[in-house]
Amino acid sequence: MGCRFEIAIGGIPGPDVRAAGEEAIAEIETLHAQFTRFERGSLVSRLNEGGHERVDAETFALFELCDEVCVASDGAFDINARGSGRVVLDRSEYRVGVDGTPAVDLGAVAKGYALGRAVLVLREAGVKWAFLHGGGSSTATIGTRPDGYPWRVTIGVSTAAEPVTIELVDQSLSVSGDESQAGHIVDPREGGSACPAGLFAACVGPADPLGAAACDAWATALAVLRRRPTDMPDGLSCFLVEDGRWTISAATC
Amino acid sequence: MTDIDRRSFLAQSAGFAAGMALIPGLSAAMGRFSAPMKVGVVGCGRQGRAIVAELASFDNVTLAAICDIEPRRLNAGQRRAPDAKGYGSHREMLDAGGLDAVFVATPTHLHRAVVEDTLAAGVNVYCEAPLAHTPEDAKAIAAAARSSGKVVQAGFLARANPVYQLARTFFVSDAVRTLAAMEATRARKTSWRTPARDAETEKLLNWRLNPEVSTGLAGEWGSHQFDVFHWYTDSYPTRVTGFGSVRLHEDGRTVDDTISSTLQFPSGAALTYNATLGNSYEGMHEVFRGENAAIKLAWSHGWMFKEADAPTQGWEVYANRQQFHNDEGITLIAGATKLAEQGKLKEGVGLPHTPLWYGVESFLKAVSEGAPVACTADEAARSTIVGIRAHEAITAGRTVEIDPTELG
Repeated sequence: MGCRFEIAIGGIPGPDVRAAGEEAIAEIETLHAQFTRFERGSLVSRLNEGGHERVDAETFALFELCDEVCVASDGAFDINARGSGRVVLDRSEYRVGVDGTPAVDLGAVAKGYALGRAVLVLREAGVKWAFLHGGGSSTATIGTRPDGYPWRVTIGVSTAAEPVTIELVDQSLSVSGDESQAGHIVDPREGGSACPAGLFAACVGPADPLGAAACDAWATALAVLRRRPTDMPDGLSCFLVEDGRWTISAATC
Repeated sequence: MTDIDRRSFLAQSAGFAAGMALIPGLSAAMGRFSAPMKVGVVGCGRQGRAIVAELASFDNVTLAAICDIEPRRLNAGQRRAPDAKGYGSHREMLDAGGLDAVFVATPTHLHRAVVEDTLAAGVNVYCEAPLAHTPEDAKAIAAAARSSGKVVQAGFLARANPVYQLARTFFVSDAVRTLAAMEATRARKTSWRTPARDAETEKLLNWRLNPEVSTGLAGEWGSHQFDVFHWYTDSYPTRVTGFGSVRLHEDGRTVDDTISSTLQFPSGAALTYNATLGNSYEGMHEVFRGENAAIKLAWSHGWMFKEADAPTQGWEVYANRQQFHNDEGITLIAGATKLAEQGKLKEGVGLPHTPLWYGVESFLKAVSEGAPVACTADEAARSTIVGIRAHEAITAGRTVEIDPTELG
């Protein structure tokens, strides 16, 4: 996934802390091997070679989510944005493929999904509190901080708008776009860059795998759309900075 | 022949030379089976769940049942395979019937009971490797496999791996020639521990750290790599020495986290094996050093390093290469013929699937189509026993003789 993941955990006995962290990292590494575009053996590479691949139910659910966000965002989020045609899903066989020219890229959703899967692993290990992030742009939390207060993350610091501090408890947060990465988001509908300098989007939602993945996907979609679409699911809070001011914040959702 | 024709011919020849053993293994028919199969998985830890994920990729294969005695792990397995029926015991799963094959991914010391019960139920078995934690159990599993008339394959994955199959064609065709030395390493910084709620789950989940049942790094990791050398050289070590210690994970464990071992083969060549849980550099690989070339294998990748005085084959001029410090390796590419024809030889480095996928695929092909078993229980028992003897040598700090008659 091309970034560093970091995990702070606690609430379990000493030797288990490291073991739990290793299990979570191993889960992320497994998903990286599956989702990378750059290794020949990955699922995404096989899709991009034209394969219509059968996958397990957990992985299929991620592709279903991507499809839902693609439809609900009018194509502003599209994992095949750099290709042509559409991603086709056959639920009867848990099969995924592309009708058209495949160029599948899960980069806008994989980090959140991987963090959600890591959260599951940590919960099963008995972890009481955790803060995880991937590349600084995707975050997930378990419980509160050890002192009982919510995890606090300040967003918008790289924009001209007044930064906002978000409190997270068992929630995930994804951010998309800022002036340091201007142009890295593509508008699938028009092809060109969708993220001018100063534009910043964020999404807060559940910390389960599909919840965290939805935050990632919707943060990207918001950066492209620059509005909250009516079909965006309840349970996700969104934030948008444009032209140096907050045009969407949790209070307006 | 024009220059371009000649170049094209040689490039395709390079593909042929590198790919001839692999064309059947990488054909479009991979992952499809003529008859539908219903399968089950016993053990939903990390390896069992990895098998569940690979099984999902095959046409005509239904994962009908999964089993784990630990509810937390069973739940994790069912998340991945919600259509499979979950069981808390393998006997209950077998009693329900209807399975063509069972994958055994329990802790090593629990393999024997599950394999014997599964074979007694008339069901084909894929058993994770090593086969067992004692020579007696390994031999019992091999004996049960022989008398069952069912397909039994062990999870020593190199034998099903196209890169290793390809490299072996070079090895047996004398590309390496006189073998000077063999080396293998596995390095991964990890505690080898699983979080456990209580003493009962501690015993269940952290069996690798329980000296009563653990075969240590030599048994659990080393046996997979020893099997590569057994398969390539068609021989087994007769003597093993070694030592180990807890270098990093001082959490009360007595099972070494770092080992070093030497296994002496009848030819006179020795295999040096190092494994550690304290560092990850260079991961997992095996090296054959010979008079004409060295072959280095790293599970999804393989390379051949030629000696300066070794004869050069025509195709080598056009082969794909990678630089390693001062050495240049010819990459061993699976399916190179087809890739060369398409002008994609360089893109073919690595494997289209995980090594585990090839192990699972070869077993299902043996079950459904009678294809040869990639790693029989007899072969697996030998590598398992070598791993156990190496562990004994390391823990006792003395030389252990390996009786060839024990290996059958």
